[in-house]
Amino acid sequence: MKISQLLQPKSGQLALPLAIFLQLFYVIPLLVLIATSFQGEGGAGLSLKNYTEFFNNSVNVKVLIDTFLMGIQVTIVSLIVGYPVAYLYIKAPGFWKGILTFLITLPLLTSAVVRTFGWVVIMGRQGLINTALLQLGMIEEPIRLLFTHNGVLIALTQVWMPMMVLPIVASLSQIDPRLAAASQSLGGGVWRTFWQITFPLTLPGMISGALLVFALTVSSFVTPSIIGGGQLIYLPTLIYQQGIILLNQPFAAAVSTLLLIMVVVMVLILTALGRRSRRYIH
Amino acid sequence: MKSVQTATTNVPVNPQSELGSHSSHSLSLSQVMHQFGSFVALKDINLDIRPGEFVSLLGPSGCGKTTLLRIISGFLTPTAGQVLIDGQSVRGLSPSQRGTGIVFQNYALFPHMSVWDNVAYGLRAAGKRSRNQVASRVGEMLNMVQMNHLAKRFPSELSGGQQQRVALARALAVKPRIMLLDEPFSALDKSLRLDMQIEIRRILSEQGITAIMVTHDQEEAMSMSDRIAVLSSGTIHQFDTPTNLYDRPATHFVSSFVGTCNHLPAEVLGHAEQGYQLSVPGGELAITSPLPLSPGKKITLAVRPENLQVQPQSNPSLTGTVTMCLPLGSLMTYDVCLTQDCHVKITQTRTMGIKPLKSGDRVHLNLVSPQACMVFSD
Repeated sequence: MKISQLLQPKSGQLALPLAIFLQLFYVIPLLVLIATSFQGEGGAGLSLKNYTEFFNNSVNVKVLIDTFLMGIQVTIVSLIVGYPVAYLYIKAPGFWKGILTFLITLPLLTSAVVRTFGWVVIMGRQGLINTALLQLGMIEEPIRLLFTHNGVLIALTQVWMPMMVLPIVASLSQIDPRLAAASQSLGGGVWRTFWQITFPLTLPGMISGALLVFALTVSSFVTPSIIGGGQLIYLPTLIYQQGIILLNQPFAAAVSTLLLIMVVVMVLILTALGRRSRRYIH
Repeated sequence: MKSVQTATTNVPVNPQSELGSHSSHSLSLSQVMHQFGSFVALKDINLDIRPGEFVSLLGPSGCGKTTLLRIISGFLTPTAGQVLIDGQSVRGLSPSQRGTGIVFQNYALFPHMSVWDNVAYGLRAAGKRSRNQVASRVGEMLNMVQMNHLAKRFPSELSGGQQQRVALARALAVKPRIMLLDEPFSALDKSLRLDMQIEIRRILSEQGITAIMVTHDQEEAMSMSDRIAVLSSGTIHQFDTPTNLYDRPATHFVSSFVGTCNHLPAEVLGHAEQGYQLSVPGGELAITSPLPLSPGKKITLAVRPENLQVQPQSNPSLTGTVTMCLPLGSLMTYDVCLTQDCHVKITQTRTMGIKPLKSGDRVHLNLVSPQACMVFSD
């Protein structure tokens, strides 16, 4: 083989450096992690010990369910709140689009710690929400938001909302405005046009948004730790405690694998849905 | 154009009540004017379209034809003027309330719905119909456009021509009073275009539907329309039958936009036997003109290429040199240089056995008849 042939790689070979990089630093560590989770007593042999230990403890199972619930809840809330935001963005005139882009992406642009302490200030006993509600006479005594599941839900929704809004915006902007005009000319009112035309055509956007938000929520560490204040434990916190504080690496690896499975299952379900809806979109 | 009835009532004619009737509807535009900011897109548009007529709005891009279509359809409210369907103003009515159906340029089929659901969309939106009524109407429409066998397909699985059939069936399903077609053939292959033109024309005349088509393709407009409105920079230059547009263009613009035309600067020399004697680059011509012309007047003489013929030297005639020969199938087009900056095109039917002219030949040209030209005063 001549040297010049080596220097003219086929198209697939151009991806080789990236493939090698990903193998070395992503796939292999992941495999090592999964292998570690099956380590038996004293680091020898294969066993399901870590998994049986996990599922035999009701506290751990509760953490697993809470994390899954949190993922689903944050996804649903950001879909319900994010869709109108995306719709508003598409309909906004040029000048407002710039401002909206900034506002939508703002949560991603601020440091996680700073942003989360902001929520502590807002949700605390003497925080903004409680003060406002008390002074308006809507509540008798401060409501508990901080260190609650709902508090974490609110904060996580705010953080990951852009991940829902942006794919929906992309989806909406791909819809030919003539489709709405066609619907209108056939006698479809505003609501029919939205529910029959616009909404189904943005399903792919909603699915990718849901995927991102779910995956990011169940693996969030900083926000649940600070807002949850150590009283609420989710899978990432559990992994941290087991792996870094208690140095129980195999158990931490098993919990990590469970988290991984949760995300992968969700990805599979949503991509299956996505494939069905993407059939008609070129 | 004063025949427009000024309707005083704003009572919408419910298109639903029209369903089932096969009567055709007339459309009138009365002094329609539209401005985008300070830009005048349309000015003083008057059109009377007879029931069942197929009319094309023909013009170059930016002439306002699409704006006019949007005004007729109800997507745009004109700055001034009235749109009347059957003599009644439709101001403030939505497209479906007006009973205007639209076939969009890219068909705008709903990509997530099957052919069947696309056609049923308007019927379902109107409500009032049982499942069976919807099904029978959809079946009827799909039969009409010969798409019944593809009812379960999605738009992305159809060819351009098939998509257009579905778009037509979808628009016709709700029995519109006026059908609007926005550049309907621009996305089709040239070979398919003629077939679809014939088919759409057939379906529309079978249904007796008044149709208005926007196009920039003059051949398309010529072959399909009963009458054509030629638009340029927001005004209607001429509204006439295709043959009249070609033979008797009303303005310089129409003569150049519809078909090919030679424009020669000319000066009136005086009266001849039945008409006038003109001085033109390359010689003199005798013409007849419906316009009275006074000697010394500078005019533009417009002559179609097929109305100039090569003749043995005679008086009066034009003399020039052939500079280019373009064989175009059955026709032969020559470019003849009369003077340095004045060329004319002439076309001849190509006949086997007769030697064509060649570049460099010196020829004498005359009109096929003295009235085979148009005169526009400058």
